[in-house]
Amino acid sequence: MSKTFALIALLIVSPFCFSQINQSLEQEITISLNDISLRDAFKLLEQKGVSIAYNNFDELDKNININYTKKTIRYILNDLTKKNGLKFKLIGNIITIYKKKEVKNTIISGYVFDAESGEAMIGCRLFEETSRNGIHTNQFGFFSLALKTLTPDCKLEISYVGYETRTINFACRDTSFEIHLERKKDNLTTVIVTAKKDKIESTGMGNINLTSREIKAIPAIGGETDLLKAITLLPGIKQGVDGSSGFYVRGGGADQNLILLDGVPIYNPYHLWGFLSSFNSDAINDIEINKGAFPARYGGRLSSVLDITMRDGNMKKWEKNLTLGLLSAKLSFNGPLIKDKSSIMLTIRRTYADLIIVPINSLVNRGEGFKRNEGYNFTDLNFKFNYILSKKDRLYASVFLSGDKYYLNQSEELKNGGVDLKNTLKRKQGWGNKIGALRWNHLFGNQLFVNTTGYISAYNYYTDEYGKSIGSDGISTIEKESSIDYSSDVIDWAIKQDYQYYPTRKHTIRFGLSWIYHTFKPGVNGFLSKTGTETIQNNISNPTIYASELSAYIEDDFELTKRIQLNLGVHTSAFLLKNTTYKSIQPRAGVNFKISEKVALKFGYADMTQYLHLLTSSGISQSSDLWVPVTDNVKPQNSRQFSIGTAVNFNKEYQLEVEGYYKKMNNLIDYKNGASFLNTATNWEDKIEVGKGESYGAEIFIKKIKGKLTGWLGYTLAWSNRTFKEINFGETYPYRYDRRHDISLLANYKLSEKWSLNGSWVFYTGNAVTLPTSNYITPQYTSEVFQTSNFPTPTSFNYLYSSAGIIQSANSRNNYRLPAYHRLDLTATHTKKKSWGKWEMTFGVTNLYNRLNPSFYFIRSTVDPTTEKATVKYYQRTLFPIMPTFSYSISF
Amino acid sequence: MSLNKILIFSLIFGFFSCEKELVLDIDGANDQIVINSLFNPDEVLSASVTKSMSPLNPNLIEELSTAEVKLYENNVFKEIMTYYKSPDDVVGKFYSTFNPELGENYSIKVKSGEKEASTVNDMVPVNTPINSSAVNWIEWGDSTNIIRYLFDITFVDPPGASYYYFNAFFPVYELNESSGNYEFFANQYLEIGTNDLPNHQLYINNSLLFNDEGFNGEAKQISGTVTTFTQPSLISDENEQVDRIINKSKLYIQFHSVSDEGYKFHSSYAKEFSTAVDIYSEPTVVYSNIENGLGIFAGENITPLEIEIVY
Repeated sequence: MSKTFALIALLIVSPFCFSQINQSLEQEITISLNDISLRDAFKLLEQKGVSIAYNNFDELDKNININYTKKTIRYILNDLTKKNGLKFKLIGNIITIYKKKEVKNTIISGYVFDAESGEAMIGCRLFEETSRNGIHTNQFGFFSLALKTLTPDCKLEISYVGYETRTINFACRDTSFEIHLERKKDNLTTVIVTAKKDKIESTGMGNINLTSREIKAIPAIGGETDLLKAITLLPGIKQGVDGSSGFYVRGGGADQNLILLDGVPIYNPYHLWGFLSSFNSDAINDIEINKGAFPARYGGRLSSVLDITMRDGNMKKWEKNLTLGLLSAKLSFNGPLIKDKSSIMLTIRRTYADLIIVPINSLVNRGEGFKRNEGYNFTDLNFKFNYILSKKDRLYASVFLSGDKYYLNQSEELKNGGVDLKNTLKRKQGWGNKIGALRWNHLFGNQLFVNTTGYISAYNYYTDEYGKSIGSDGISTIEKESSIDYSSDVIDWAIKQDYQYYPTRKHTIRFGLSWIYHTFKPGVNGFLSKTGTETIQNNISNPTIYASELSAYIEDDFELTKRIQLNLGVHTSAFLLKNTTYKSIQPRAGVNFKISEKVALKFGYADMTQYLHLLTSSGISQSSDLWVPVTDNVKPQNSRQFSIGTAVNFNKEYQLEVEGYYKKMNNLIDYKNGASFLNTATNWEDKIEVGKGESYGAEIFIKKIKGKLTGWLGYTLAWSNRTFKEINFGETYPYRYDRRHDISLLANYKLSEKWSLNGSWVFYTGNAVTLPTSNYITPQYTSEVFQTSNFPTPTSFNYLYSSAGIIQSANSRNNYRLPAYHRLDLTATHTKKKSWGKWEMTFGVTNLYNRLNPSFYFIRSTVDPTTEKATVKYYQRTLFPIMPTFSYSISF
Repeated sequence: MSLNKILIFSLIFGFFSCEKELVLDIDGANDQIVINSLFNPDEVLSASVTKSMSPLNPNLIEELSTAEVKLYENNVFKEIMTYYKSPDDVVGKFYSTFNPELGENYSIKVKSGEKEASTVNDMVPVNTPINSSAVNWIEWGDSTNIIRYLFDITFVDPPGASYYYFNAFFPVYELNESSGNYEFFANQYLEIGTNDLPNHQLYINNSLLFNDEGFNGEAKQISGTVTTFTQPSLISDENEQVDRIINKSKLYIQFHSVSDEGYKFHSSYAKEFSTAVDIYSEPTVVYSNIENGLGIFAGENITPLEIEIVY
C-alpha cells in the first residue's frame, strides 16, 4: 500500500520537477570559465541550480578558456559538450553527460568455402551483429560488406542451411576473409528447397533455389535424376506432355526460358527427344530459377531464367563416383590439381540402350537377305577447371558437350521372278550442344568484384535419309538413289562483364554489359534423286542470318528504410541485323516491405524483351524445333509482368509464399492455321502468325524445410490465353498449357542413417487441344452453276462444291480439355558407408497406381466386316505407365 | 523431318508406352442444325438444311427436310422456302422463288422441332468482269507425260476489299481403254506465280483463292499454268494428238467474286481440307456464320469464261 502511494506521489510530483529543471536550463547567466577543466566547469554550472551527472571521461580533464555573457545554461552545456566531443540529455531532473560514439567505416570482404571440399558456397548468409548488417555471397562465394561500427570489436556470423553456423570475432577494421564452413553432423535433419536470401528481407519474387543434393532427393523416372523435370514440381512451372522437351513458366512458351550453365545460354538441353535433360546432376552445384520480378542483370527471355552453377571441383581431395541406372551410366571425378589452389571436375554420362538393343534388334530383324541395324545413344560431358591466381584473381575454364544420335541401316535383297532387287535404307538423326567458356574473377580493392566471361555456345540438329534401289533382270540394271538432308544450327560467340559494387552497407550495385554474335541457319534441306544417268538435285535453304545482340544493365539493391528494401534497375539491349536494328529499354523493380520479422509483402515489375523465337508446332516441343531470330518482318517478343505476394516464416520449419501475377506478352509467333513444319518448301517466315498472349494466376508454396520429414506443397491457379489475328478468326483462345489447377506434393523422409524415402505426387488440369466436335456437310452448288458456265462433265473428277463434302470441325482452337494428369512416384534409397567410401542404391516405382495419362491421342476408324458399319474412336498413348526405377551408385 | 514421327513412335513408345481408348465428352456439341448456301444472282436462292453428326459416329447425312426455313430480305420476312430433292441429289435443298439481287441483304431462319438456327445477313458482291484472257503456251511431250497450259487473265478490281476464287480446267481427252471412248481426263492442277498473287491460297479441286491485297481498285493480270498428267502417247496418231490437245480443247474458268463471309469460310475450309492428312499440321477451325448451328451462308457472283486456244 505504501509503495503504491509512493508511486502515485512520484507520478504527481515528477512533472513539477521536470518543469522546474527546464526552467533552470532556460535561466540566463554570465560565467567565466578560464583555464579550468571541463569537469570543474560542470561543477560551476551545478552551483547555478542544476544537477549534472557524468562518467569519468578523459575529455573532462581538458582545459577550457571561454566566457559566456547572458547565455542560458542549456546553451552553455550544449556549447561545452559539442566542442569536446560529448553530448548531454535530461534524464528525470538530472542532466546526464555522455560520450558521443565514434562511427567507424569498415569494409569486410572475402570468400566462403565448404570446409570439406574447398568449393565456393553460393548464397551463404553473413551477418555482423554489432552493426546489424548482413549480406549473401554471390555465385562465386564472394561477399563484401560495408559496416558502420561503434565498437572496436565486430562479430561476424556465417550461416548456410545444412552447415554449422560459424561466428568470427575480429577487430573492426578493413579485413579480408577466407571462411570455411563445416557440414552439419546430424544427418537425420535434412534441409530442402530454399531461397538464397531470406525471403522476408530480400526483394526477390518468384525465385527459388535447389541444390544438387535436393534435386537428387526427388523421385525420377527410370532412376535418372533430372534437374529440368525436378523444377516442374515447383508452382508456376509446368512440364509439357510426357516425352516432350521444354517447360512452361507462368503461361509462357518453351522458348521463353533462359537456361544458363555457368552464365552461358543453352538452346536445347535435352536427351531422348525430351525424355531427359542433358544436365548431369553430379556436375551441378546449385540452381536458381527466377519467374517473376527479374533483376536487371537478366535479359533475353520473357518468362524465366534458370541459372545453373556447375561444381568447381574439390580443392582438398579427390572424389570419384560411378552410377548405374536403368537408362544410363555416369562417371564423375573431381579433385585438386594443386591443393587449395586449383581443381578440376569431370563428369561423363552415356546411355547404354544401344549396347543392349542393337544386338537384340539385329538378331530379331535378321532374315534371309534382310539386315537391320538400329540404335540410339546419348552422351554428355561436363568439365571445369579453376585456378586461384591470387587472392584477387581466379580463373575458370569449362566445357559442356551433349549429343544424341539415332541411326538405322537396313538392307534387303528380293527376288521377284527373274528380277533381283536390292534395297538399302540409311537414316540418321542427331542433335547436340557444345559450350566452351573462360571466366576470370577479379577483385578491385575490396568493394568491386568483376567477372569477365568469353564463351561459345552452339546447337545443331540434323536428320538425313538415304535410299538406294538396284534392280537387275540379268540383262540390264536400273539404279535409283534418293537422299534428303535437313539441318539447323545456332552458334553464339559472346563476351560479357558483370560488376558487383558494394559502396555502402545499404547498397549493392550490379552493372554489366555483353555482346553476343549470333549465327542462325534455320533449316537447310538438300534433296537428291538419281535415276540411271538423270540426276535431280534440289537445295532449299532458309538464308543464314547473322546478328549481334548488345546489352547493358545496372541495378541497385538497397535498403530504403529498416523495413523497405528496393531493387531498381534497367536492362537495355539492341539486336542488330543486316538491315534492321531493334532496341529496347526494360525497367525492373522489386520492393520488399517487411511487416514484421516473420512477414513481408512484396511487389515486382519486369519488362522483358526477347530477340529469339522457337518455332514449334502445337503438337509437342521437340528437338527439331527451329530457333529463329527476329527478322525485318518478325518483331521481338516483349512482356510486362506485375506480381504481388507475401512471404511468411511460421517458424524454423515452415515457410509460406503466396504470389499473384499478371503477364502481358506481345509479338508471339505461332504457325498459321494448317501450316506444317513438314512443309520445308516454304520459308519459315511465311508459315507464321504474330499475336499476343496474356496470363495471370496465383501460386501458393508451403515448405517444410527442416526435420526428418521435409518437402513442399505447391498449388497454382492460372489462366493463359493467346490472340492471333489469323488464328481462330481473331478470337482469344486458351494456350495449350493453360492449366487451371496444378498441384505438386513432394515429401522426403529420412528413416535412418541408411534409409530414406522420397515421394512426389502431381495433379494438373488436362492440356487444351483442338478436337473436332462435329461432322457436317459442305455447301453444294446446284448443277445449274456448272451448266451456266458450260463446264465439261468430268468422269473422274468433281469441281469444287459440285458435291457435298464432309467438314470435320472443331468449334474453336484448343476447344477440348484432355483428362486431368496425375501421377505418384515413390523411391527408397539405401546408403551404406564403407571404409573405401559409400554406395547408394535407389529403387522405386514411377506412376505407382498406373494412371494412364495421355501423351498423344489419335483417331482410328474401323469397319465391322459383317455389318459394314464404321466406328471411329479416339485413342491415347501413355508414355509412362507403372514402371520400376533403379540406380546404383558408388562414391570413393 | 518425318523421322521424328518414326523415332518417337517406334523407339520410346515401342519400349514403354501403352494405348487405350480416350473417352471424350463431345456429344453435347453434335446434333446441331447445319445451314449451307452459296447464293448468286444467276439462280434462285437455295440452302441445304441438315443435322451435324458426332465425329465418333459417322452415320449418313441426316436431312431436316421438314424444317421450317424462312428467308429474310433486309431483315424483312420474304417467304418460306420449299424443300425439293431431285433423284440425282444426295442432299435436297430448300428453294426460294427468286434470284438474289445486288445490294440486298439476305438471311435465313430455320426451325426444326425444338431447335432454331439463323444465318447472319450477307449479300451478293459486285461482279468483276474479266477484261482479257488468253492461253499463251502449251508444253507436252512423250517422255514427261504431262501437258502444261500457260494462261493470262486480266480484270479490274473494284474499290474496297474484294475476295475471289476461280477454277480453271483444260478438258484433255484421252482414250479410256475399257470403254474404247475418248474421255475427259481431269487429273490436273493449277499454279499461279507467287509474284502475281503473294497472298494466294491453293484451294481444293483445282481452285485458287485470293484477296485484293496489293492491287485494291486496280487492274490486275494473273498468269498461271494448268498441268495435266496424261498420256498423249495413248493417242497414236500425232495429228490427232495435236487436234485433241489443242484444237478441241478450251480453257474453262469460273471466276467467283465472294463476300467477306464466304472468303472466311473458303479460306478456313481450304486449310482444313488440304492438311487433314498431315498429323503435324496446325489445326484449323472452319469458319461458320450460323448462330446456334453450323455451316455457311454467303453471297457470290460468278463470271464464266471459255478461252479458245490459239497456238
